[in-house]
Amino acid sequence: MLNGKTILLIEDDEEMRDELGGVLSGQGYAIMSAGDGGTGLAFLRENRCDLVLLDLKLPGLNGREILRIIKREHPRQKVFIVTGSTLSGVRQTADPVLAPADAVINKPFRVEDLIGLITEALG
Amino acid sequence: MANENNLIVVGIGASAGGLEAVSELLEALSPPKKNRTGLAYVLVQHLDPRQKSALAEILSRKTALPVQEVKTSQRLEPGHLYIISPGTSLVIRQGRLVPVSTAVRLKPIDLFFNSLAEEKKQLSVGIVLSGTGSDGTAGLKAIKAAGGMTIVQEPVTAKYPEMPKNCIEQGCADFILNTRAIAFWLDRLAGEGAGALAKRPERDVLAILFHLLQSVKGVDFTYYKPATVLRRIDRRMQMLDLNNMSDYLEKVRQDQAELNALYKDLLINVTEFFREPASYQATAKKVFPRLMKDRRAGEPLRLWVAGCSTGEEAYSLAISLLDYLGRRAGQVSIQIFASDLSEAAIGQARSGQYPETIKKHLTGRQLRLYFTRTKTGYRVTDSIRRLCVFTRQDLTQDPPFSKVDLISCRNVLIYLSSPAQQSLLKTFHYALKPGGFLVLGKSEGLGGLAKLFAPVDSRQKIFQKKESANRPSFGLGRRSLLAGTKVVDVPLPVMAGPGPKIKAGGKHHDLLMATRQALQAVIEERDSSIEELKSANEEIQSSNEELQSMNEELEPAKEELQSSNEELITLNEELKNGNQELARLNDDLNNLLGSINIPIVIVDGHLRLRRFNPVLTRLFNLIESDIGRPITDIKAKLDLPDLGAVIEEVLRTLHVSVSEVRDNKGSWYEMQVRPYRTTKNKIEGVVVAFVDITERKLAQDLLNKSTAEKLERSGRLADLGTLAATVAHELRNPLGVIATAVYNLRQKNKDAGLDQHLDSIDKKVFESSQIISNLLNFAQISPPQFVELKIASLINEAIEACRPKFAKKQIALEYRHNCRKDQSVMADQIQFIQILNNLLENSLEACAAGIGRVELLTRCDPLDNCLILTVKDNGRGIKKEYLPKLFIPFFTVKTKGTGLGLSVCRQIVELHHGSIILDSVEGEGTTVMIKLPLRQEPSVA
Repeated sequence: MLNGKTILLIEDDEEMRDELGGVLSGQGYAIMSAGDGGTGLAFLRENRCDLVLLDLKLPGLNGREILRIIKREHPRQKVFIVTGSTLSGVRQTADPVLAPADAVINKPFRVEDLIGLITEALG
Repeated sequence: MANENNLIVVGIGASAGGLEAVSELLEALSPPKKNRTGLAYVLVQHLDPRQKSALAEILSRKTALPVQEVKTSQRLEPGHLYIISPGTSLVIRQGRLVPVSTAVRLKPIDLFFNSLAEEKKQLSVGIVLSGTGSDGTAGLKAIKAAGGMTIVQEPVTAKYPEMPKNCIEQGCADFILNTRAIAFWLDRLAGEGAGALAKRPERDVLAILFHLLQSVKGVDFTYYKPATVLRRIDRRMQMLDLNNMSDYLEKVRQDQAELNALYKDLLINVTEFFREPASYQATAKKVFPRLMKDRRAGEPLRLWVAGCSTGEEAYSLAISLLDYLGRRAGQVSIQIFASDLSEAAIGQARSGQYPETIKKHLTGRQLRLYFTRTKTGYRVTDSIRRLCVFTRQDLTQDPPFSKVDLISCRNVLIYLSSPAQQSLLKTFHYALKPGGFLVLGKSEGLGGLAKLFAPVDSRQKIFQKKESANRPSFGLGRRSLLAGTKVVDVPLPVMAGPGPKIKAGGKHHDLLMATRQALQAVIEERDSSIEELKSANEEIQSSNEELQSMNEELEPAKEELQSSNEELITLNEELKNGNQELARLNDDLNNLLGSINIPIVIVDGHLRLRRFNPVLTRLFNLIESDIGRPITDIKAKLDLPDLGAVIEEVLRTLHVSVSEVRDNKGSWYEMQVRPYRTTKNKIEGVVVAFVDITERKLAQDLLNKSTAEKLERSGRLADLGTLAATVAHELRNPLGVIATAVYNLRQKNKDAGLDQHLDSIDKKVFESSQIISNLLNFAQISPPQFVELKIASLINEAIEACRPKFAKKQIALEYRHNCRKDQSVMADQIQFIQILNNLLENSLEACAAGIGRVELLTRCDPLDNCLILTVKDNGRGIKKEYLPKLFIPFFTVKTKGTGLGLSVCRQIVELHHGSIILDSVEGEGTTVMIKLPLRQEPSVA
């Protein structure tokens, strides 16, 4: 059932990784997980993936720094921010740090919405 | 030599401005007489040492004395005037005047007087005339101590009274006299010589008093009855509480006012209308008919009231004569001469004004006919007044009237000594026409002169002139001309000698001889008469010339007086104007100060109160009479540690001092202490004003408090923000996990019964998420990032975003933009939209589906320079009691919602320095109005 697309999940919350991984696997994506930014970045340097789902609040390097590094090292890499820290939806576009992200998704999100966004982005 | 030792030396001291006084004195001195020793005069005047003095030359014209400027040591001669030379001082040493060369000699008068006292002892006379300073005082003291005589010019007559005043204050003046009186004394000294000075202490006090009176007042009382005079003096002494005549003399010498009082007392005359009425009746009965009968047609009736005092006697006589004449009055020309010694009495008599009380001495008919009522009493009518001519006259000296029909002289003789009485009666006898009448006072009589008059009524003392061979002897008194007496009729001496007597019988030769002798006698007598007439003529001519020359002298003096008078009037006018101006300024100032509700006080350089306004009494316990007291003595109702020090600091530094003080009632004042500058830019104190700043102070306190509160609140909010962000993140993550897990659960379990429960979980997860978002929004409002926003397009965008929701509920949404199309406002875009969303959300929620209507309006207030946004709905409105609580966080009237929406709006609006108000009527709708400044001040952060 694999659709041949790989998604990297950088998320420190283990339950979130498992549940979200379950959802996305069910959609036919190959899921890679990293519990922190360093691991995620190291994976990206060795492997290719179609989408990164990035949490903002992470131990060590935080999501904003990771986003900056990813976009510097791999300018064409698609990155979705999944966060529980930001204000209302309007604010996100105004945050210049988050501007390079391809989408910002607030927790808790409707899973259907997320799947829609991913399908749209990865075709 | 003996002569020289007895020489009296008169030192005269005056300052540079004393020339006038010196001239007056010298002019008043009698010319020196050959057979008299005379005095030596030495004038010491303050002169400019660099100027050659013209003094000797000037004074030579004023005096007959030889004048000599003392340039070298010289012997003193009697009858000479010696003058100090400029740049020198004079001393007297062993009978010689010695000029002492001095560069600076401040008190040349003292120097000379001291040497004079030492050299001449009791033969020294020191005179201090007009001058400034205190020179002469010490010298006079020395002269007085040495037994000499000291005279000081009466200060009121001196141009510069300081020097004389100083002498008087120091008690070294024997006499205080005007220059004429000084000359009088000097003349006496010159006449009597050293003896006069030597026995001075024993001199008859009365004589001195008379001389004083004569010299100062010009009236010789020597002929007054000593008893009368002594009685009057005694009365004066009693009033002054003096027991000793010489004490009284001392008093009179020192005090011109006392001399005046004595003079007045001596002239007192008691008089009233128809005093001794019987005398008038007798006169009317026995004298008037005979006068009318003897009168030649066309000749006037001449009556003389001698010693008329204030006129009552003269008017009484006029009245009784008119009463007697009745209808004939118009046919007879009447002249009543009334004379008295006292100028004041004559003045009163001339006015014809009398008090109410006179009516008890007059009949109603007389009052009606001869008087008119005035406010204060009665005045004689013109018909009476016209008959009387009043004049000042000294009966003992001045020439009498002549060809008089009747002389009335009541109660005058009693004041005179016997010789004076005799002389006066002789004068009366002369003055009367043949057969003329004399009326005396009841207690008076003819004394030894009964042979001159025949009694008409002995009881009423009415007499008729008898012809007599006696020629009265009287001269033209010197005074009469000088004192300006109105000479009504200068009498001519009348030849009234007996005719030659020829003896009857005897021989022819004898007869011839006798006839020849008789003729010879007649011729001789005639010759001598001619001589007498000639000399009388000469006397009259010389008097006439004297009068003419006096008149000429008076003419320029009069002109001078007129011009000084004009000057004085002008000066007075100016002063009056100045005075008015000052009064007006003062009024202005008082009104201004009085109307200002700011306590103000003006204090002089010594901290003494100069002026203050009424409201100052709120702060200081003071009253008007405290002016002049130091302000530091006044109890202040202020919490003021040291006002004196503050004022002194301002006086020293000339810097305005401003400080805040509080009164004991808790009011606050700004105390402003400013230097008081005069128009000449001198500092003469300070002006202290107390401006009430209580309200400002309270507002400031409130502001401080609220600022502190705001700071505290924002601090708390910042903490809350951090907390909220953390909590939000921590909650959203698990919520995210729950939501995802629910999704997975659905996928794995296709049990329809379970789906309902999973839906509930989903719903609550998103509601929780909503709550967290609102909380986060409220807690994390950050400082606005101001950018220029196009109002109209921004609002239209927001409305378009909301429109689906409104459409879904069928609620109308309208927007009007009532200002420039491209009007912009400085605001944070996100926060602005958040406000809009919140308000629209609230309105949407409040409106009923289908009939709801929400209106937005934006307009600009150019005055306040702000944007006004109104959101109005016709929803259910808000209960009145909830209105005050609406902006409190977590307060809500909705079943759903966090209760944070409006408080978020308010916080954002406040961060934009704007304001928000809400008005609502339950059941009708709600209106929210927001005001935002169009421009923002650049923030410091």
